[in-house]
Amino acid sequence: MDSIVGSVSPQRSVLILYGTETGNAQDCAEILAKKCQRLRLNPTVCGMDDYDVSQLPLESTIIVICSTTGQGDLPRNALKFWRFLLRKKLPPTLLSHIRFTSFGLGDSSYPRYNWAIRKVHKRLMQLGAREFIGRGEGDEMGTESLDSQFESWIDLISERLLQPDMFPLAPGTEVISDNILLEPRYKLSVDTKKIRRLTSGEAQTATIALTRGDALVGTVVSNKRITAQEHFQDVRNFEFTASQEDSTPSLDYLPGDTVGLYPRNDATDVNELLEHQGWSEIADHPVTVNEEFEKAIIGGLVKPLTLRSLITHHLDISAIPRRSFFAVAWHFSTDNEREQERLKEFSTIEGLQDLYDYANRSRRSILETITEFYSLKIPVEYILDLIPILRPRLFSISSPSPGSFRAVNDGVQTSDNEKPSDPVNKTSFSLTIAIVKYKTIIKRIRRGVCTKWVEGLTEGDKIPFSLFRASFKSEDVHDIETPIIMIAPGTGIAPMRSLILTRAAKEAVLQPDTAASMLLFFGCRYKEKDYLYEDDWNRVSNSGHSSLTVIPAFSRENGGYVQDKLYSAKDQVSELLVKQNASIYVCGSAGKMPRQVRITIATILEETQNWSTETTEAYVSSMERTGRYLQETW
Amino acid sequence: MTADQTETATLLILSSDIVKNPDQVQEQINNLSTESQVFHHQLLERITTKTIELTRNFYSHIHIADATGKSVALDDNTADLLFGCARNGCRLTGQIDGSPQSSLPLLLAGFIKESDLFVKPAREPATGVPTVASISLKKKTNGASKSSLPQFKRLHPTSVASADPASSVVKLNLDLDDDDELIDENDLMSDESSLPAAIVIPAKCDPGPGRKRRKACKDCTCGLKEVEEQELEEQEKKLQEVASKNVVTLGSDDMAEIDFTVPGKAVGGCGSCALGDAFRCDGCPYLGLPPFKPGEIVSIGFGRDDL
Repeated sequence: MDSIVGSVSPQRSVLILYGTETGNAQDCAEILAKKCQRLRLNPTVCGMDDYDVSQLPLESTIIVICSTTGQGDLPRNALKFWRFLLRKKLPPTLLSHIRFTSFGLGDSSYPRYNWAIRKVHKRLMQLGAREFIGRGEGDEMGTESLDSQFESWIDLISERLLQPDMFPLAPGTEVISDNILLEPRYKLSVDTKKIRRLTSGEAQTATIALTRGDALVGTVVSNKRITAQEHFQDVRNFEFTASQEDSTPSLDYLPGDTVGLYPRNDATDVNELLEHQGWSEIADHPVTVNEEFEKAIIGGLVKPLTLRSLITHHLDISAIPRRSFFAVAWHFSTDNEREQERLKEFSTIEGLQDLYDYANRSRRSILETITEFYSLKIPVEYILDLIPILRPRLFSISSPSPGSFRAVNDGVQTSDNEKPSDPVNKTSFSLTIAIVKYKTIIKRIRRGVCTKWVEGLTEGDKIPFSLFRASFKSEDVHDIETPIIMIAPGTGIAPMRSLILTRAAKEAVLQPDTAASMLLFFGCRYKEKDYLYEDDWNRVSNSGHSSLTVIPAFSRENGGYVQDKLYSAKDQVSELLVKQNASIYVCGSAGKMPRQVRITIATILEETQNWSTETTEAYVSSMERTGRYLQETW
Repeated sequence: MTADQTETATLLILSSDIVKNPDQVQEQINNLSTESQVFHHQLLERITTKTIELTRNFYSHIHIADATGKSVALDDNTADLLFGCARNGCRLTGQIDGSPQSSLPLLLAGFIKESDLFVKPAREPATGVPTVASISLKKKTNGASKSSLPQFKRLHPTSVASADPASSVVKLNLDLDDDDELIDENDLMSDESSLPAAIVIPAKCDPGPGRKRRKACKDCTCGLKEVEEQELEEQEKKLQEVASKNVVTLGSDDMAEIDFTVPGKAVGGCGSCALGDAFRCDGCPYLGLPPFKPGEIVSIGFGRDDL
């Protein structure tokens, strides 16, 4: 097998930053990096928030790839970096030594199409960076697929990058052809000299999981199903505690904050991969990875790091393989021309539909793909180039803010099982988790990696986790003198529960003459099967302190959806918004629901206030800009 | 005292180390004292502690001298002070630590890097705020800002801009700069005309051989999703028929039909059933089964997991 060992001059360095919500932009960044390698450049790929801005003086060429999410916003992994760029004090010459361009992933069926990349692009120019070629905007709704558009854009910038004023090839050298295998970008080295085996047992796996340098440790308290047994969906109220003494600053959280859980792969699956590829002998020896890879691991690497622990805790072997997987994998199927050709086809734009049929519709995993192509023999040092990183899964916290209990004498009780946080010692967390389990067209059962792991957790188990702040900052939401309208179908109810219980506890303490209204629109399918946290709402309403009204919509019982109930209550909603300056908080699945809700709000205002469409749009936009209209969707 | 802008002025800054060597100090003075019409020299320490105050927009050349073999590391405070006393076009030279932790403060202060020296660029006496078509006064937004930090919680307290001698990477602790004023990101979009247009991505005339219809959008409203779902249902039905028999043992006759290596035998359908899903066509009843070998007992309805 031919591979190119390149030693590229540092002058040919390119920094590729990505802002991603679901991994698309990251995948594009990796594809671009591989192309850069073939142009004999020296690319570095980095998540925007993982990038150390003090390195900026050293950069000369930057390419930013960023998705637009929510209401024209930057993705979660870009917010810290974006905040840095937005500082008023930055001089307009800060980036004058940098040439750049960008590519945005967007969807033209949403308003504020590709706003994230446009804002980034504009701001970089304001700070003095010079565009070396126009930015690209990819459209989910385009006539060609997003992948295809990105590919075409790469062709354009490849041409530009080789021009004399950029990175022309030295005379006599050529672009490295696609048929030649490149050195792995994230090279893995196995230390075979040490005979001692570091990992193997199942029991070990649980303790190894806790060794991540940047993660906290929690102890599971309960993992109870809160939907009816006969209901098709298994939703859990997952509770755990964490001790205060091990970490500073305090583990306090506010409604809207999220917990990241670090799942791990099934030992059987990991073993299957190791055996299939003939790696069992070296599976428990120490391995080293490069710094670029290490930086991309949220929460830090586990210790000891062996092939087994790396795959178990850090590689997503149940992910669906993307084009970039096949672009590398086909080189490793030299025994079988037919298989090699098919693998190669799956990496092309022309083969996209076939790839979709093979991999996406059936949710085929990388593990399955590898085991189905008999001739695929992967050299272990390429494994990090092939398998995407296993990311933590985020869940909005559904328990009330611990701070709200510190002042409470007889605060509002939560569920029987849930104790308010002991302010001295431990912090309690609750999460609302829907277990992912379904059958696909090829009759295989698909389970979410994280929820599969969560399903098996019981009281006493120790788990790693991280705490993430809400992406918005709004005191109005917690302020018990400002009314709040909450719209949350399904598991979107999680942060609302936290908010309602937090506010209710405050009301119990401060006992205002009239507490501002809390109006909740909740949607589910059946009153008796999946009306989550019904008991909590009853308890709060009956406590006498607060002003909670819950309007549920039971979709399979002719109750319609949340937006229908919202419209039915239009006078009340309008009064709260316009006369009492209420905030709106929407949470749940992305897609139709948040857009329908926004349209409904606008319609309500138009009709009850007799406003024109323009006035209404201006009012709603201003609510969004000033943090009165918050949205958390996934 | 302000200098006539045509009168050149040099400032020699001496580190606390070099002043221990009067010879080196004298050498530096000799090198620089005659290049400009005005020449001053100062101790770095007196500048950074603000014991003395430098005249604003005065110097056309600032040179930092350190003991032989050493260099001065600059922080934000010092960089700002130097920027303040430099006039437009001023060159900043000398033994400045060239690592990122020294370079970034200089860039943040407003210097630009030109090969191996720093220059205060000539520009309008702006306040340092980048010009935007419409800068609105910061609205009272009740502290709401969509772009606040998601903070990662760590086991160990994060340190403030600590330089780890073992690594050349210094992490600026961005978490603590919460009170830094930000521009309103929506202002960036208020004047669309100042943003250059996106490049036109050429469409592919021929999307490629065998290109099939695009998949339906996630929230399809045109009915394509329903059509696709129906097709899936039909496929399901076919699979159900095969699955209703628990075990399918492929006899030699059956095998002959799908074994492409049997010469002369007519091959059913695409002929690729044996090869695995990657090669099977859409309607293949064997979709979902692994690739198989002749004589193998194929069992449909297997599953590692049980629902």
